[in-house]
Amino acid sequence: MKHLDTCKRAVQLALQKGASDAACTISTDEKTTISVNKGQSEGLSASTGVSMGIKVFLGQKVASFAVNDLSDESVTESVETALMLAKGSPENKFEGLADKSLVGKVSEQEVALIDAVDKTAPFTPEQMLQMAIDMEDAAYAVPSVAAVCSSDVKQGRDTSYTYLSNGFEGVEEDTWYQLVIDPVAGTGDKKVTSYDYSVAFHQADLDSVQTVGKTAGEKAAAMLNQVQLPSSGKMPVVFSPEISSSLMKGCLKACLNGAAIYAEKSLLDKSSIGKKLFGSNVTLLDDRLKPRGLSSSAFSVSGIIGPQSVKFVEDGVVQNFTMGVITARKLGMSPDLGREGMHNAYFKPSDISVKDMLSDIKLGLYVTGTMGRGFTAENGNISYTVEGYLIRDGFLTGEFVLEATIAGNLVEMLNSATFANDLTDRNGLNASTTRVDSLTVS
Amino acid sequence: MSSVILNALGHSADELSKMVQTSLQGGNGGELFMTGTRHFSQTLSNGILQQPSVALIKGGSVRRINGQETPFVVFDGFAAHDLNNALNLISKVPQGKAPTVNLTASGIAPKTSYYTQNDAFEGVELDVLQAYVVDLLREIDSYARQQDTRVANVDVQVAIAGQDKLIVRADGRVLSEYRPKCQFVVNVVLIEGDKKESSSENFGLPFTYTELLNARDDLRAMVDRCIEKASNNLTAIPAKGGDDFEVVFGPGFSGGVVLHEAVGHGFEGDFHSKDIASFQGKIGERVAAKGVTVYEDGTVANARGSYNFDDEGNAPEKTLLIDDGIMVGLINDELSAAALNMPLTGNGRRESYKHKPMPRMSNTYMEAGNATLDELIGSVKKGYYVMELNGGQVDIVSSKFVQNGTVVREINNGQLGAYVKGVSVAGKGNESYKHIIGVANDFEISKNGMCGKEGQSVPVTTGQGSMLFAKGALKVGGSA
Repeated sequence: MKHLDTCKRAVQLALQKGASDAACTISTDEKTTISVNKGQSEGLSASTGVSMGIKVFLGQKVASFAVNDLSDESVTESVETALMLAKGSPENKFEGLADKSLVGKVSEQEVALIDAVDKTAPFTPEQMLQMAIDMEDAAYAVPSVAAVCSSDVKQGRDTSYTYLSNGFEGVEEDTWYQLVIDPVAGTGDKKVTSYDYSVAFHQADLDSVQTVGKTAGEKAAAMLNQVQLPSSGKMPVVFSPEISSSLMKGCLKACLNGAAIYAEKSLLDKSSIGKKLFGSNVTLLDDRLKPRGLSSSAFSVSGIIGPQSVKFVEDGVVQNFTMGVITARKLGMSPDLGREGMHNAYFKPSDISVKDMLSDIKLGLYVTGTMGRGFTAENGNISYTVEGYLIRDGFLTGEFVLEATIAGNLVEMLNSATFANDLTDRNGLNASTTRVDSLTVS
Repeated sequence: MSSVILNALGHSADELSKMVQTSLQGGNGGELFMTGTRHFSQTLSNGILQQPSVALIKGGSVRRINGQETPFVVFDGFAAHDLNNALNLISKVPQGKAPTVNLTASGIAPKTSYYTQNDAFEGVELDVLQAYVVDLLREIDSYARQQDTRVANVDVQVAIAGQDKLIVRADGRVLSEYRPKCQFVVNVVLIEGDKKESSSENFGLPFTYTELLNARDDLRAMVDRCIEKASNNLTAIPAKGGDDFEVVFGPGFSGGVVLHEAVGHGFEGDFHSKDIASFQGKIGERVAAKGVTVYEDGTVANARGSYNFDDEGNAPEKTLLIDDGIMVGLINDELSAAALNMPLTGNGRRESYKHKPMPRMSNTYMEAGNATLDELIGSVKKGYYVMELNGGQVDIVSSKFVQNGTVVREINNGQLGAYVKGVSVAGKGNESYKHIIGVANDFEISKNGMCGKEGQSVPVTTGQGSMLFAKGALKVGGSA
């Protein structure tokens, strides 16, 4: 716990030199990556990193300093410079650490429950190289896969140490493993690409490299069977679980962000809490203690622990925003949920199967990819270029549409959204297959 | 040679050069890459000054080139122990069997700099600098609020940074430089009734802080443009989509982003060496309409994308990519040049010492044409005039690209009509550019631009005059 001691030393130094409060976080990371191209290694990359951030308070005057040299001289210089800048800063009535009464103690049981550290020995460089080669081979084994952009195996360990002058201390650590591959199918002007991946805190939870390589190859190959969109207009759109979590939840998350709400950059405002703005099918909640969950957390950086699960939207009614201590003060709300962000958030699935969800669709689009920055959080407008498969007469076809656009509004989408029963926990944010009937496709 | 980094390490250039040569001997190349960056920023948001932030980040990495294999070790800080450890680790990597890389233009130290080498902070203490910045932020905030009573929020940020860079190559050459950078970002939100629109302007240029403070008129003009754009968008109607629209892009960033995404990325040599580029094998073929000539050029004076040497230590060049519609060149770093047996173009760039270099654009531009913007608009029966985009994306394999318009007007029978919202423009880079029917003489090079590739971001610019795509060349997605 050398780094936690450094955090404490920095905070104590700041207090000695006149700060009324101080906060310090040190983060370290170790990472190794290997990529192969056509069976040949592109070389092992190894990196180690460390960085420290110190924030000092003179009442409600503040300044912060980030540095990656943790020598005594450097820490002292950081504290002194931050204090000098804080002196020259105007008062900010919203600044200050969380009230002591809200600050908790990290529970060892909870850390154990999250189980983010794999005790198994990390992969050796030789193992990583073989995995990357095998994953690439599995993709090349799929007919019509002609090239692979990259086949990567990565692993790492991240640790963060936090000490606040209101008495909070916390350490968070995780190990992680990642496989990524993006094969190309077809040749000449008909080339297409797709990808697959697996990411986990534990080696044992990784998909096999053969599965990831094969899935990615098959996804790319399937895209070669291209058709034009038969007609334009309003039609049912079904988002794959991956796209639903990135698009639907990504957009809603931006709107539920307290800082964006305060800055008039969300279609929601403070009065939205308690209002039924979305369909009754829409319940968005999180779970910060999910075992091996990719965004599990035993505490928030403010030192507030918060409940295990927070409902952000329940049956279409807006319940909570994400916010830190400062944003909470700006909005005149309490930060007691300890949600600077969401942890393993998901849309509550229904009991409808994907098969049943598609069964009444005469013509629709099953979206597997999006491009562009087509969301405006201020008003909820959505306009994305998408790709995906046609749904005809109740069934998903193999007819791939490389380029279509969807247009509509997030609020309308969330009023017509249905979430199927196939929720998985592949990502830090998850959603099941989602059907929306309010979009215009062209 | 004087270098802040050499002083910190306590080595002379000769000593360090010998250490690196010893570590990298037996390979085909590589380098020690080190930077020290000092950064100050402050933001005013919703009338309240946020905390000033200072960062002092230093570190380095060693890369060895063994054919196409490039083992890489990264370390934080300037401690001798970490540097020695990295040089030692990399020296133990077995030697590759691949052919020697042909290094043509390597390691040429700059005689003149493409931008000022003056200290971004001009030697002043941070608290003095902070006072100037706070004044500027307040002035911009109150200026914005005075211009329009509908202004509901102003976010304005100033960032001042300076970076020392040191490269020691496997061939023993040592290069060092300093680069200042000033960034200004303003975002204005307008509310009228139940409608809300926001607009942003930003620039980031190799300036010292006084050059930024002295540019107050330009900064106010940026606020004016934000208000004008947001105000126009308050009246905007949902756009109709379809594939039968002619599309005019405005000069500078608007059309330039399309050029960067749809064309530029497809010319990056690493994609060609892996057989995955959409422009694969098209050198010598027509890829754009006659009259379209495109350069990639890291030597534009005072441009955001320029550099005195790239992140492998090679001199930047002005590289012809498309000559009168014919594809003639690629954008290469050492690895892609060697793999493709093509000229090295000095385009090996990286986000930071934590990343390996790869072929990246710097300033990419299309030569000005002869038409005027009015003539282009006047010639359009049914189309859109895209004045501003919020960036774009390209699938480099299929050449599919998409751009989202943030300020767009209808054109009907040669006349500009209503402002519209929700326009996205999609096309295929290796096809759409064959259908450009006019480029105007209003050439501009952008003052902003960040390019992301494989998780690495680097500053770039794009430039061109206004341009017109024929009906059918692009697909317009609407929101109506």
